[in-house]
Amino acid sequence: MSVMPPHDTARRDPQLLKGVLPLLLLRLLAAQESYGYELVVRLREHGLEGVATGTVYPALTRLERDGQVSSRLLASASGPARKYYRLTERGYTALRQAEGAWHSLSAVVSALVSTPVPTAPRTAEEKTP
Amino acid sequence: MTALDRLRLSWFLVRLDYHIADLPRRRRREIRRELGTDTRDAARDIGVPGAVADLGRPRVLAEDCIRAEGRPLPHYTRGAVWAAVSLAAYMYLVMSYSFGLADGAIAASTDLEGGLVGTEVAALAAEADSLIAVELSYSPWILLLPAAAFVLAGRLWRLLPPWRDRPGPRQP
Repeated sequence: MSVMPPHDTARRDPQLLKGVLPLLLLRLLAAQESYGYELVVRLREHGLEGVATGTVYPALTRLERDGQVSSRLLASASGPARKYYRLTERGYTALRQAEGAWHSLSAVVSALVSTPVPTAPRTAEEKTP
Repeated sequence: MTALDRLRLSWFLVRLDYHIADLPRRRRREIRRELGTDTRDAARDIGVPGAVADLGRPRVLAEDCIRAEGRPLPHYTRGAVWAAVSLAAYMYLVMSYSFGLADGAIAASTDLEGGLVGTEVAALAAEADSLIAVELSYSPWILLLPAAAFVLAGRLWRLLPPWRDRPGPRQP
């Protein structure tokens, strides 16, 4: 049986990543104010090489719509002004809630998927009442 | 950035802009500016083709951006297209009807009058198997057709506030 290495991005489900993207963005923005592409680069530096730039902007729009991040334009030395995002108070609250939900879910999922997979499933007749 | 790279990026932004045409103008400008600036940054790392490819298909990105706004938006472009199509279809029917009436007037060597919803048609015939004129008089009510198409196809009722946000009956 082959074991998937922890950083095998080729096999990472994009839908899984999409689901946790708001949490990751909030977490990164809690550490440092950033613009869209910079967030993509930071996600990739953390091992999420498969993250597509096109998925980050709609997620940022949602966070901004929900008041969890705010934005401002800052002049850039290399060209036009960039749109920087930073966490709001509501964003910090959302981050705490999302982290709690993630830890709770990942504990359950980890416990479940860490049990050995039986060679064959039990039949309905073999089920214990 | 080469001229071809600039063209490639501009073409992507033009296509994206077409698909987000239903967003307010200010929001569209924000999206274009942010994506343009950031993609130029990305292009320094991986080149314009890679940076543009990383954004995905413009239509999909536009749909995600619109969905992220969190509220249903009217489709002005679609509404305008269907308004034009409905008016063109009506005009086609009127012209076909007029030609038919004109043929009848020539064959009978007499004046004929008829009407199609919202339009009166009169074919004036001469005696020697020839036609003098076809007169069309339109009712202003025919403008209701493209207007209705614009409202229905454009889903303009989305401009109204959602029911849950409307003020309820006054409490005594």
